[in-house]
Amino acid sequence: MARKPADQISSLQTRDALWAAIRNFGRPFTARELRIETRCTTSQTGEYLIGLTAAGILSAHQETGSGVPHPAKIYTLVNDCGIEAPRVRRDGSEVTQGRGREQLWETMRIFSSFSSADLAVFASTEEHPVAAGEARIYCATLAAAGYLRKHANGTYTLIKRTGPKPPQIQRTKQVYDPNLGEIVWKEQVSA
Amino acid sequence: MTQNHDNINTIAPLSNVGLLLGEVSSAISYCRENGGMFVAFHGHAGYGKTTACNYVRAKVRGYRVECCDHWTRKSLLRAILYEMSIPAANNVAEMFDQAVEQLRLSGRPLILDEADHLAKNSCMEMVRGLMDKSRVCVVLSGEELLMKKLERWERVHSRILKPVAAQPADANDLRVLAKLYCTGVAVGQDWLDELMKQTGGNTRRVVVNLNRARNEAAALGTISLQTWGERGWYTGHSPAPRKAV
Repeated sequence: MARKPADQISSLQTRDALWAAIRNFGRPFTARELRIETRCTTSQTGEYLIGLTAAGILSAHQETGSGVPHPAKIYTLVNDCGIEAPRVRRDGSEVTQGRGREQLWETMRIFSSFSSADLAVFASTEEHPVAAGEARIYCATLAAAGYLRKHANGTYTLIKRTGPKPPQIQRTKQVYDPNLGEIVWKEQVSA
Repeated sequence: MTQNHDNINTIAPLSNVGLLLGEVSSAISYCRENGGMFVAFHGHAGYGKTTACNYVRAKVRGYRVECCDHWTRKSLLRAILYEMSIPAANNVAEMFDQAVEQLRLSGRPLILDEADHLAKNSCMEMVRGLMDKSRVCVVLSGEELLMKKLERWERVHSRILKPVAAQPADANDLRVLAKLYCTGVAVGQDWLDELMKQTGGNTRRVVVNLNRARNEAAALGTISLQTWGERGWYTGHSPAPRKAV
């Protein structure tokens, strides 16, 4: 099943919720216990546990010799890496999608006033280059959503600071701010 | 001589950026084994320290906080927790524990920009405490006198792994900056040489002049000393006082 847009997911059904629950247990746990603690689906919970185990953040072992035919796997948190939920794929590799946006938003917060071309340069690293076009679209959308003010010479000023997480442009042409947890702008469809 | 510019799209080739990234990277691996240490990045205003810090922050995924003069310990901790997206507790002791835990577990370095503002008793000892308890590398970036100011706190000064001095832009940096700010414009070496002389390699002033060159490029075609003529330079010098009538 395709993933729902960020604003339609309850905060109890996210990886953040799974990760917070894993940290709160403070003891070994099973997939079932984790699922009950949050409101995530079996497959979502399972996927995340597989990824975290592959990344070496959890260790999994099977209880044997208890006479139960199919004992549940028991997971232990071995590498707690802080409040931010690790973004891992099934094979344990790190998801870096969105790093460019993160860099753009951080750079905006530092420089306050900028052109989109300069912003792209300052936000780029070799691993995560930001294309000039991407910076232009991000700036234009955030300006429409009231985060930036556009000046006559094409530069922008940041006028709304909501937090460290970058506002997301969703495919449905709306802006979701994860700092506020709400939709802050929707594209006006002309009738 | 004129140059045509390749498309460079990061600030990585700038010497200050490379310098800071190198030192912070080695400090991170040192801290992992030996406990937290400071990297002090000092240099005059306009040398590109903040820009270098931003690049390094993106590379190492650090938490970056820009400090203010009026801050108390509580405001500093609140700003650090804000960057971590952690709802701050009510008192300083609990906030301190929150910040230490997140730094220790994530292992992400803390970058304190404008750190000279922290050079007061209340803050500096707390920053050292954060670093000691979390065992992460803390980058203090500040003005030229930062190192001198930190001498007052022996426990802080002795934990500076390496002082890193921000340098004025050199000839190569000027070429890189010209490529970044005047993409697609042919900029003559003679013009760049004069730019160096006029600005003393102060990156901020260099950039102001490059932005002017970009705006003029449409009219001038190529930028050289000859086409630039009497357009003048932004040097940052204050005008001479006027004589009273």
